[in-house]
Amino acid sequence: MAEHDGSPFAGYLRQVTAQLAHLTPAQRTRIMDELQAHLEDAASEQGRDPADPAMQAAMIRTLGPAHKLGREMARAYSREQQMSVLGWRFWLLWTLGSGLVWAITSPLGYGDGTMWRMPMSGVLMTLLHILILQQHVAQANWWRRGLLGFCGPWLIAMVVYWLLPWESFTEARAELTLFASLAALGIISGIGQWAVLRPFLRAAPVWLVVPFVTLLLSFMGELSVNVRLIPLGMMRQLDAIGGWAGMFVLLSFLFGLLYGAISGTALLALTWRRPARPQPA
Amino acid sequence: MSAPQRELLKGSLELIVLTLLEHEPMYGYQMVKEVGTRSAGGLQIKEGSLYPALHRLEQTGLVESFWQPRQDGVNRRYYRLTAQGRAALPARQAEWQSYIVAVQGVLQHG
Repeated sequence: MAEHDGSPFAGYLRQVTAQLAHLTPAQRTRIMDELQAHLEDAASEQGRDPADPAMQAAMIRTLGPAHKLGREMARAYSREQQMSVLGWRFWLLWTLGSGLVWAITSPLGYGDGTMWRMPMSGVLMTLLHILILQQHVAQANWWRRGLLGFCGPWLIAMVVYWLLPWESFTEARAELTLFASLAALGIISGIGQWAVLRPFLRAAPVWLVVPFVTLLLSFMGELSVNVRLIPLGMMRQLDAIGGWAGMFVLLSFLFGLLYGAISGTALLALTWRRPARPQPA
Repeated sequence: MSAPQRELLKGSLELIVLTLLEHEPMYGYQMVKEVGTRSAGGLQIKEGSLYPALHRLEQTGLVESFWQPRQDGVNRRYYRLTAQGRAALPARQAEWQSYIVAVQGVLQHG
């Protein structure tokens, strides 16, 4: 594609694409390249140099005011896409914020240095979700897909690791509440990321929901039997901690579950998105 | 072209684009030239209107685009009708014909 430099036409293109903030970077680049190719076609037919400022000025006059062209281009893309991209960006900020709150409140709540490994896991998963979103607001490439391919199994393995030693979960320790949110988040994240990587799952959203809900319910059910993870049991655990630490534990638990629920809802919603029309090569 | 003609062209631009693409893929500058040729200079498409129309049609699934290299190796964006666009074109042309007949009827009565 033609390079965009400091020429008058390049400046004009930048003004046009300034109206297209809701489009993906790939879409904006395509529009710029297309208009640049149009300039070159016109110059070629007229036997002129596309870099000639007079030629570029004539083309700019033909295309019309940059803000008007940009506005018309923006209208060409559906409100659904506009809201989708804005919505994803808002969700990304919310995910980051809630994940950071979760990561910070955990050690403050438990006051145990060993608990730092939990926030580190939470921050890492937050970053992973940011990468997932970035894939949908920008063109996916091989390293993002490779990272997602690694993260999905990794999160599932981490959840299985926490679930296996059931005997340790019988201890009446408050970090079990954090384990519950972490495990739920791991299940949601792992399946969600595999859904991103497996295009055929987008055509069968019911298939995705059924095993996910079954797994989550079975996990919550068994954990509640073993450690009584019910509101009364949780409050007893919080009473055992007491004071401000208990409040931080509660805040950590709530943000962890909220983070997992919103993440799961958003990731599952990807399976209902209309697949992008394939672009011919 | 007068302002009223520009407004009329704006309203029929999508139909013109779909008709141009009926038999072969075209790129933007080619469409501008082709309209001028076929209309014997009577119609002049503004590029500032053409590209938004092309992108609108692509978003609605009536056309699709692809890059194809020119002789000098630089890529150029071509457009062609999709199956959906090909199916919709006769109806749109019929609508336009009906509109023309209706307007003619009013003008003749006047």
